[in-house]
Amino acid sequence: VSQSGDSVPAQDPAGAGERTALAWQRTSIASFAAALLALRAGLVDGLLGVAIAVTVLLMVAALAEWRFGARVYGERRRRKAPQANSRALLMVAATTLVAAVASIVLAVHA
Amino acid sequence: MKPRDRITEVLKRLGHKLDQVGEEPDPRFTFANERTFLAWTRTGLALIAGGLAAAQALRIGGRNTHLLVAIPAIVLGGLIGAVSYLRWVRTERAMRLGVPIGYSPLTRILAIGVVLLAVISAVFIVVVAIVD
Repeated sequence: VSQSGDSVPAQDPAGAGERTALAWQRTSIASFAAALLALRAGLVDGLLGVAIAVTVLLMVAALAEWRFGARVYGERRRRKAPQANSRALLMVAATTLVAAVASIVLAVHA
Repeated sequence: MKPRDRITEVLKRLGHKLDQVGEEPDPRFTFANERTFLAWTRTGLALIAGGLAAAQALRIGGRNTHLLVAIPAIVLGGLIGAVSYLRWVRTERAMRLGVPIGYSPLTRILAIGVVLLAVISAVFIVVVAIVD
């Protein structure tokens, strides 16, 4: 068991890196689904401007999240220690918050 | 406090330069903290999506009563999305400094919020059935 953080354990029987990569990919799929739902709400209620903006935001977030998942796989292959990417996580949190505000606008006009 | 110091303090709280704090923890703990953050984010996104679906599906009789279910769900989802990041920063900092992580209020917020949403939804459905 590595305690220093210089490298990931040579053997990772628990598959922590793989589970994290899959968690990023599940989050990406969830963002994509939320984007489609926001687009549908906007199309039904005639609020295309807000709907397209939030859909594009969530789609870009979904692509970025998929990339972050691939990054985790890459680090695992290179036996490189994972770095806590606070900016990526802040981006995800900010996107969720903005999507919530836009969804309130869509819900009020439903 | 000067504005510049205040900005520095806010950035510090938001995880800016977190890698300069303490020592690098076991990679598996870093992974686990990241996965927990992502799980909370998905919960937030599910609540937002559920709120949007409720806004569409519960429109009955031309009244705005559907907002009673939709708005709290979306607000709770947004709140969870934002607070989960602060929880991640706090946990990461605690791991790097080797201090106890402490309890997060997120689980309690989610539990209370979901129970309230369930009660509001149930009352809404019963009232609509009686009125119609």
